[in-house]
Amino acid sequence: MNAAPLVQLEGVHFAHGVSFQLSLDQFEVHPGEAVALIGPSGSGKSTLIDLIAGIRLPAAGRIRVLGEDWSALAEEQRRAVRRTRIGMAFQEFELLDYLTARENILLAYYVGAIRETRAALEQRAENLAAAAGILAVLDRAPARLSQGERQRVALCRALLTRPPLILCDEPTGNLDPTSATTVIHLLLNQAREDGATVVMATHDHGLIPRFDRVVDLAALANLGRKGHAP
Amino acid sequence: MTGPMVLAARHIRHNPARSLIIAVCVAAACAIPLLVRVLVRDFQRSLVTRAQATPVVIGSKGNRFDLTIALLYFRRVETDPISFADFQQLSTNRGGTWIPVQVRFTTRGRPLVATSPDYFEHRRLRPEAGTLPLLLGDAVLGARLARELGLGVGDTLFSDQREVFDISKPQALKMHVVGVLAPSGGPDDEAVFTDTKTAWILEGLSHAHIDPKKAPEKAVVEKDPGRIVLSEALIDYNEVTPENVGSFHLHADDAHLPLSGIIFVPDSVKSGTLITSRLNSGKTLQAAVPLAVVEDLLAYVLRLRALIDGVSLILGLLTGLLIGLVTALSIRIRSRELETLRRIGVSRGTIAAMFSWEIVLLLGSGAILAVVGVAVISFSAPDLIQWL
Repeated sequence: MNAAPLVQLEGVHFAHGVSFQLSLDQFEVHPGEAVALIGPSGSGKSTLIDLIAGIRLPAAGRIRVLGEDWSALAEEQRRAVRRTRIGMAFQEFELLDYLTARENILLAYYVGAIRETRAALEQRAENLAAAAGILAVLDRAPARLSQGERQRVALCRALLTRPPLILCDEPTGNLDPTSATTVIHLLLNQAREDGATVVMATHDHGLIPRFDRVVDLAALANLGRKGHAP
Repeated sequence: MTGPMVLAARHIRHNPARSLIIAVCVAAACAIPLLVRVLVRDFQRSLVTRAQATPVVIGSKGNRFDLTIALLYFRRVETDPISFADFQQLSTNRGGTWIPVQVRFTTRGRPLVATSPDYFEHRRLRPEAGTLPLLLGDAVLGARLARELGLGVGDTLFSDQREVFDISKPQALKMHVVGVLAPSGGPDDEAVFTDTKTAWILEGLSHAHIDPKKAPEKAVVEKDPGRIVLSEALIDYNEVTPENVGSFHLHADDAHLPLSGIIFVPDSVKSGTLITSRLNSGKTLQAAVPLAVVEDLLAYVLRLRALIDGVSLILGLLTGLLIGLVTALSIRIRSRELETLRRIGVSRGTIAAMFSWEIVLLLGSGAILAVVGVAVISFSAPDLIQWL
């Protein structure tokens, strides 16, 4: 890959108390890549996702994402980058229970993440929902959706603004294999269509072949790039 | 609508019970002081207007508040009566109009006001239907009372029996409705008016029965050339009819015919002052100026309003605390949602705006409820004032 990396971590060390530490000499993700982060529980997959998203900052080292150096940005500036240029999906879906599925997908509009017109965003939301097979349940509250439907809503929410980087933390962790396959299919297809880069932490080895690259944090090796998780 | 406002509105809708409780508390905190002010203002206006239209009231020595309330608002208060002789003696004085008033009786729980035609003249009360009470046993109804009881000209109604178990007391009198007054917006709308002589029938001081000379033999207990003693079975008439009206007669002299008091309408300030000072320096009667009495009464009301204002302030503070507490609890309960918003990059300002909009919308809803409540109650304020 000749293009400048979209995500670049150098000499990163992160510690959470005395019980957990994560060190990475170097980690890069290039534009358009779909990278799966694997490893056993506690290996630091979620922490790495948080570090890439600028939700947490390392004790040492440098993280550059989308051309921004996280350590040089204030909390509000990091939030602004996440809000406008990074799509995020979580294992527990994290939908707002007082909004309908449609409104959850349009959350970026309500929180000022995008300047497109509401009509354009609604059209985009419907297109995503159609692709995800949840068009019929758009006006239901999250409590009335199945687990698979909720995760698809959460993915549509992450994809709405066509972010160049999509970070997913175990999005299939609570889904049955069929739903998991549907969700990953939706995610990767849509990312490819939008030219987005995907970094996804997962336990599900059955999904790995669908990704361009796999980083095994526990094995400390990744196609010539070095990772270290104590 | 802005995004944070939409999110706040959705959250309010998602928690209807909590939102309603807060809105109602806000409404109560806003409405109570407003309502008190509206009601006190209208109450004040009503009292002052009635008092201004009643220059002087005269009654037996005692509580001037009771006398004023009895003669202006027909409330049954325990005041000693004055006599018809007092009225006759006072009315020989020139200097104004003297109006006798007797308010000791009720009919269907409403005041039965016995007075003279001057009362209607003075209060500018005109019959909307029928006539004013002209004959013994005639009754004229206030507008609201007639509507509530569903009575009109040609109907009859009974006075309330004061002592149901004392057969020595006069029985209820069946009165004939001869007129209904036009609405006046005051206590006159809720009263029944009769002639003073009708009230004396209710007192048991005037009655009629069949002519002893024409009584059947079985009703005669003793018969002498000079007198006839009739049986107790011979019951007094309980209705004044064209046939028996001539036989009604008094069993008391003027000094024993009671009146609750007199409304005096002086021709001039001077004559009012003279009568007032003369009566108040005497031993048996008092004259009160209702406007002065009402102003004293209002001083108590205004003091009460200040107290209610204080209570309302506390209520407002408590409501503020409630909203603060609910918001703090809401932040704790929604910590996971807030964390999600933080993770997807929602700014602190937007999150603060969401909570602020929620408070604003709840306050706004409460304020709208308060305005509607105040408007509705203000609309029925005259009824409430009358009830008060």
